[in-house]
Amino acid sequence: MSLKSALLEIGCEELPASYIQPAVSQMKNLVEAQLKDHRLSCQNIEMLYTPRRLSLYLVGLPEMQDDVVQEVLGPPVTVAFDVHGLPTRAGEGFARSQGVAVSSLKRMTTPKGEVVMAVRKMQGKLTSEILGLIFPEIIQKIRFPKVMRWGETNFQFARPIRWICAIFSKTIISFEIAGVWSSRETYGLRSLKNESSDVTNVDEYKGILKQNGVWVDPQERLNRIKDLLQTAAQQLEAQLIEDQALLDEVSNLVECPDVIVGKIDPRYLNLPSPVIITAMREHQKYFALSDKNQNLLPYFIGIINGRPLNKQFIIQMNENVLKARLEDALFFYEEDLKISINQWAKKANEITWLEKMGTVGDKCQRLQVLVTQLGHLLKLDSSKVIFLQEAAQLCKADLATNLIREKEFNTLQGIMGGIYARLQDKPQEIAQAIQEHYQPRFSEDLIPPSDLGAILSLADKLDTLFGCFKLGLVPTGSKDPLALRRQAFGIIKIILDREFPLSIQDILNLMQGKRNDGKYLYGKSISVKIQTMISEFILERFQTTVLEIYSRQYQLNISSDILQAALNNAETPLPKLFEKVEILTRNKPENWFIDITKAAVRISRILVSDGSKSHFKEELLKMPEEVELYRAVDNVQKKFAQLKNQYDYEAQLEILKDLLNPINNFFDKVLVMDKNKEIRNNRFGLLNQTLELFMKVCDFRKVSYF
Amino acid sequence: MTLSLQDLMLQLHQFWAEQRCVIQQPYDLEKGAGTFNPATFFRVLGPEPYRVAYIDPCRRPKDGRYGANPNRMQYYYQYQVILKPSPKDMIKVYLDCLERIGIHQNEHDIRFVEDDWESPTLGASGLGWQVWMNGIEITQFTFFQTSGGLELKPISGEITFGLERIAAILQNKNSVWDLQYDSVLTYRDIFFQSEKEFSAFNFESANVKMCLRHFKDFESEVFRLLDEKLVWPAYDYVIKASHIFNLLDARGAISVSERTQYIARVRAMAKATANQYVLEREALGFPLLEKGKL
Repeated sequence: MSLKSALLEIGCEELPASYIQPAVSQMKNLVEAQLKDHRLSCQNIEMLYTPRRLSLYLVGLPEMQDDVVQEVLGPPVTVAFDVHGLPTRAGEGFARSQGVAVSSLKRMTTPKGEVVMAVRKMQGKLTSEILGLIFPEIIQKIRFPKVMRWGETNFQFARPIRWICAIFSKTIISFEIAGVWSSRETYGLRSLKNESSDVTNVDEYKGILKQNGVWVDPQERLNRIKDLLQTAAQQLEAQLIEDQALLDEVSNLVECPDVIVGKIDPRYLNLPSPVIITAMREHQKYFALSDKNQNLLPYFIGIINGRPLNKQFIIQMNENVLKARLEDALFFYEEDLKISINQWAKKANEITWLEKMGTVGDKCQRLQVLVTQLGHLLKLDSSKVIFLQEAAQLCKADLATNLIREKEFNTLQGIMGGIYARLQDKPQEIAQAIQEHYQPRFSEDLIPPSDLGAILSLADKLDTLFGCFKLGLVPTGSKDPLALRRQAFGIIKIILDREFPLSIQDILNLMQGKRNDGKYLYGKSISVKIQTMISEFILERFQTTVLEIYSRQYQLNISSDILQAALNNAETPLPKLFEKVEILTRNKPENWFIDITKAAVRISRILVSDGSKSHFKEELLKMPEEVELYRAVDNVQKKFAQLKNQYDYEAQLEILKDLLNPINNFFDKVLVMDKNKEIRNNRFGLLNQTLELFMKVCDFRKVSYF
Repeated sequence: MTLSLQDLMLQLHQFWAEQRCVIQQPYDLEKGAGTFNPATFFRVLGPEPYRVAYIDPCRRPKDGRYGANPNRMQYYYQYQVILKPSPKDMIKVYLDCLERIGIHQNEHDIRFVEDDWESPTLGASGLGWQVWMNGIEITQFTFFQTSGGLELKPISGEITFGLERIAAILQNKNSVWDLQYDSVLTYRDIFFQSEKEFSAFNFESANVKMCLRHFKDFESEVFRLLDEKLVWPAYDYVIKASHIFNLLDARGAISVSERTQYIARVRAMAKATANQYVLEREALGFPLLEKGKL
């Protein structure tokens, strides 16, 4: 049977750019599931989309479903037929309910005896018929962040549906939804032609759209935009400032990309580059250019839709809009420079940060304490600590400035603070710390490059976390309005990348810090419950961060059992925990590691049966194998103590190997459950000590080989 | 030959009359937007079809700049179109309208950029777009979903142009004040003095005590009139209260937390009025159900 293709195109009025890809992705998943339910195979489903259409192109569908034979078991033969072999009422009833003749009932031996069986043959349906069921259903099931109604229909969708093109090979898949009947009509780029074009054969779909000015393949469209940008940049002998998010967005704002290059009025080039770039990006979606030395050039590149004839006028109007935006920015910027950053900080201090956690000023006071404590923990020079304190005091100043209070420039918080501090001759290190202290802002973002920036960022994120947990504003499920998970991610990323020797315990201690006047930062007593919640929250983020980011970065196949095993000590600095994870992961497949795991598990199983903490006395040892184990334990303890570095897990694993033989011999010869309670408890005690040595490295009980 | 502002108005009227819209005249009260005109606020409610276009002056006291800003004023003209129910070819009709005034889509970069519209004072919301022409917003295009707190059915499509901005593009002027109103007079000749005086009035001179008193009076008048089933007069007082609130806001007489409360009070008036309007139309048997159909 030859394979055919099918098409579903939902033609809409301009959809929000961010809705498009997720919607088509949902469509794909829904169709895949439905095809499976209907026993239809499909070689490939292509996702095609533009702001005006959500399309699936299904390749390699059979023309029909396969026939199926269904066997249904019925009552026992002795119930269905009487002694003469004639059908009883029950037998006839069963046959009728299955839609087969009584005479066609088969017999089947089951563990419950012989029963009758109806065999139903179901003929496969036409694929086109099944698609006619599937397509309208999936259109109804697409979910959007926001939906609307239009005209007189009750149907809800992201924007009005205006046409539906649904075809199997050459046949229309006919259905109606939201007052629209499907057909073979599609529409091209609006500015080229307002009439529809017919798709007679599914295979022509992409070609017809291309002829009508539509780049329906998202990857092709994106590549086209990249080419246009690169060519334009090359002509100006400039470099494009990369912006992947903007690229993705722009590519979902057009059906037929074209490019314009405009000039920035040089009068505005005195503005800091981030301000100019943001003004270009946020509303106008322009790309910025730089020279070889990363200096911003006075040009912008915009991606426009269609192939308009009057490009010169388009450029002129775009230049005018940008000019108006930069004029606003310049006004705000100059106003901001009229008073000092310390004065802005005073104004910012009045702003409410979080109800009940006080103002931005309160936050900055806490930050000053936190950075001081962090500075001591990280053994920073006292001169640096003084810088940090000033940075902490000033880091939120820009929240009050005119520029940052404009929504459009809000993303520049921190960055503007840094710029204003630098312009007012604050030490470079302070300015830089302020500038960097929101980093990392998103998962691919860099952590702050400078020491002080990293510490200030850490303090800021910890304060937010502490404050929110103290108020019970804890993320649940998908709800995380204050983005605490991202804050915790930043905390982990900074500590690990910078190898700050900070443990969970250190973090909890910070939360119980006091100000100079003796007042507690987050209240006098932090309940055990809150402490547990915080340490669990951070550890959970530690695990996801390690699994999602570091396993890729270090090309390690980290498994979650190893993570669980490694995280058994709240006092271990997080970077050391990560080192441990790395070492355990590498050694997990080794035979000796398996042996160590087994030994630890064996001991712990026996100890589980003993509830009491047993005391150990050397003189109660009786058998030579006991003595051997005791000596080995003693020896391992000494070797551990002699290690220069208490976090040398590689060496510790090596030392643990010394225990393997003695443990095996012990279990071979010694019966732990001696009748004498004292001896029994003594053996428990010995095993306890042995297990403790294993636990110094990790919790082997959590290691899993399945 | 460039299109004067007045030619633009006439051409738009001609175009929308051809689309079988009633061409109404401005409503004679101060409003912040054409949406406040009862030709929109009332007509989008309930099941009766309606097609209307009108020019409405908008008063936004806070936007006054004493005539110093090239495109921000406290008084300007909106061109407002309501098509109820929103027709299938609404975007096409809109693009035809642009063609008529000389904006050809094959020459320009015309884009429909997502925009959620909301009027907290009217309890109204909708989804749609800002229409961009060469990077500049020229139209607000909205499918009303709720108004006066009521879910709407059928849905009305609303098209709103800032006339001065479009004229500035067509006349290639950087400042609204330099627009040709007709072939002789400029926008400055006609509006500059009043813009300066009203800016001073809005920011410096409006009588705050009197306004506060009036707001209260208007508010109670709305509910008194609704009790008497005089819904059109009641709505006049909603419009008046809303304007007084805008004026007080410009005057800096309202704090941030008070602001939310004032908005909620206007919304409560708008909601009560909307409900009463639908009840009255229902009692009349929705008279435009048949006649209003295209």
